[in-house]
Amino acid sequence: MNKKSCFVLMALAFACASSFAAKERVVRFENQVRLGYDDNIYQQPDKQGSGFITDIINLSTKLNFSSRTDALLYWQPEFRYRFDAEPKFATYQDFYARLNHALSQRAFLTLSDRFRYQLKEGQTGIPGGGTADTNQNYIENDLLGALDYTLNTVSYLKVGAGYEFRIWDDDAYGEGDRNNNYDQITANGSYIRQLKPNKTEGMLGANYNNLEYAGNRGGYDAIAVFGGVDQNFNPHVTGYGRLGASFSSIDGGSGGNDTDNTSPYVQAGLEVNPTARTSFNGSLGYSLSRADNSVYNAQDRFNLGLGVRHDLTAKVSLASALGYTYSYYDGTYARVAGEPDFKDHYLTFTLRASYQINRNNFVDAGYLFADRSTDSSDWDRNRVDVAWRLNL
Amino acid sequence: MKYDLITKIGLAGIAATLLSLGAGAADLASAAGNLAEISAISAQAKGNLAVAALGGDVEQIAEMSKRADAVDAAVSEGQMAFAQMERAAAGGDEDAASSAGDDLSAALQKAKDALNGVIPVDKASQHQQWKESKTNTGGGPGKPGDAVNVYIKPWNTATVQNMQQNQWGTFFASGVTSGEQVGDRDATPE
Repeated sequence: MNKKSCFVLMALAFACASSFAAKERVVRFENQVRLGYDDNIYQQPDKQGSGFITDIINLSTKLNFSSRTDALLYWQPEFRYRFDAEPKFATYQDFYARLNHALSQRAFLTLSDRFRYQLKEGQTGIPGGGTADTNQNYIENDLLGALDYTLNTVSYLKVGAGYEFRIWDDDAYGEGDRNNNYDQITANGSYIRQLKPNKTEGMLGANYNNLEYAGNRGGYDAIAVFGGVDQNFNPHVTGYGRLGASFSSIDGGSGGNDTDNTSPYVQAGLEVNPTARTSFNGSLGYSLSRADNSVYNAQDRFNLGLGVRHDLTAKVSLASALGYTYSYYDGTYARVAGEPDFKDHYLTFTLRASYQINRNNFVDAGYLFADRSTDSSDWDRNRVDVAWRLNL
Repeated sequence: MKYDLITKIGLAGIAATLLSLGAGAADLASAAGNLAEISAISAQAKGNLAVAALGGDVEQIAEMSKRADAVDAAVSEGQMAFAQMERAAAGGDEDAASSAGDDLSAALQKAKDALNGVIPVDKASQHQQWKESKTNTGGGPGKPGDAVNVYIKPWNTATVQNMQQNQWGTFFASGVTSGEQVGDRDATPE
């Protein structure tokens, strides 16, 4: 265990231990067991299907220390067993802790830490081998903090900072020749002002990102400056928009040249709740981001998310979501010279119906479709499941 | 006949001159009209509340009471705006008077909306609610069983964090889990 992992575990232990100091504790527990079939378990062009059983736990604890301080501890593990895969077992776990503290009448502090642990050994059963044949175990930690400072009755400042890292268990993938381990530092500042009472808030902000991959791979520096609006159109419709520009310098790594780049920065979202039983939400964004491809140090990323929920009756509810990500890797973003541009499209669609048997028990049925289309390979995936869910 | 025509033209000219010279006075008169209209809406809201009270429907009484309170708040805002407008007009500050007039018009619109049941959530209270809800077990606003959005950036505005939590709740309810996060894929295809 390296030094970073040790610090994270110590912080988690400290966060859990502090729960005993809380004056009030509320614990919520949900357990979901899914039984289903996935027609492309390795997410490869050459499909291989398998049945699976998954257990997903949501355990959260609300802690009230005083009228000025509270916290949230959250653990979401997912244990997946695939009958026809090799190895059969995979685990995804998210730990999350958040602390809110009112420093004074004007200042409000939020600290949060997210820790992710993925245990997914080499997928040796892949037809024809492939890159997923390697060990995919990793840990990831993201520590964030923000301070709100109220200037007057209509305006306030927000400043924040974050530090994130990911460490792959497979040295050859994390360091070695691919250097996928990374450290990322973020800083953010914004000025927010109420323009129309109860309706409109305007804001100006800046965001700084520094990403460094392991070894001599490089990374990037980016500063985005933007303006935006939060708008309550009416009690049923809320939206926000951010528009600006991102100025970045992307390292060329070994044999490549550094690239200075200016690109648009766009973030927007809309939420519509026409009735108490129905809600729609959507969001989109475009910005320079961390690469999901070992060959490049950055990507221009467009993402779109659409979701809808509807309660058909008091016991039957439906939820559906569509996510689409387009990643563009310019050849100049590559960590080595001479790489071509690369495009990656990723689409997911999910649909789930839920029936409430009684106060605590539910049965669900779900469908997931995923499609990935890149310049080097294409695959799609269908997954169906039925589930039992217990809420306490 | 000729005398009448000259008289009418003369009166019209005098009226136009007075109007152009005394635009501020006319604005004040218009503002006073708006204020009177808000007061009338307030009376109507209270009348609706009285009718609901006689009907005995608890939900209807609560709704009408909420609307009447919102209209009263608009009345208060309107009165403050009118007082500011009077002071600005007396001091000859046309910009301030115009701004106060806009506030008064906004208060009138708010009163009309409230009478019809459209009551916007106050930003400050929304922010406060969100801060409180952040500590609710299970995450922020949305359904009680929603999973916590662990990717929220605390430096975003309350509106953005709120909407991102709600969207996360929808995605999780539709079947997306940490193993299939949108945009978080497994192996890269390089």
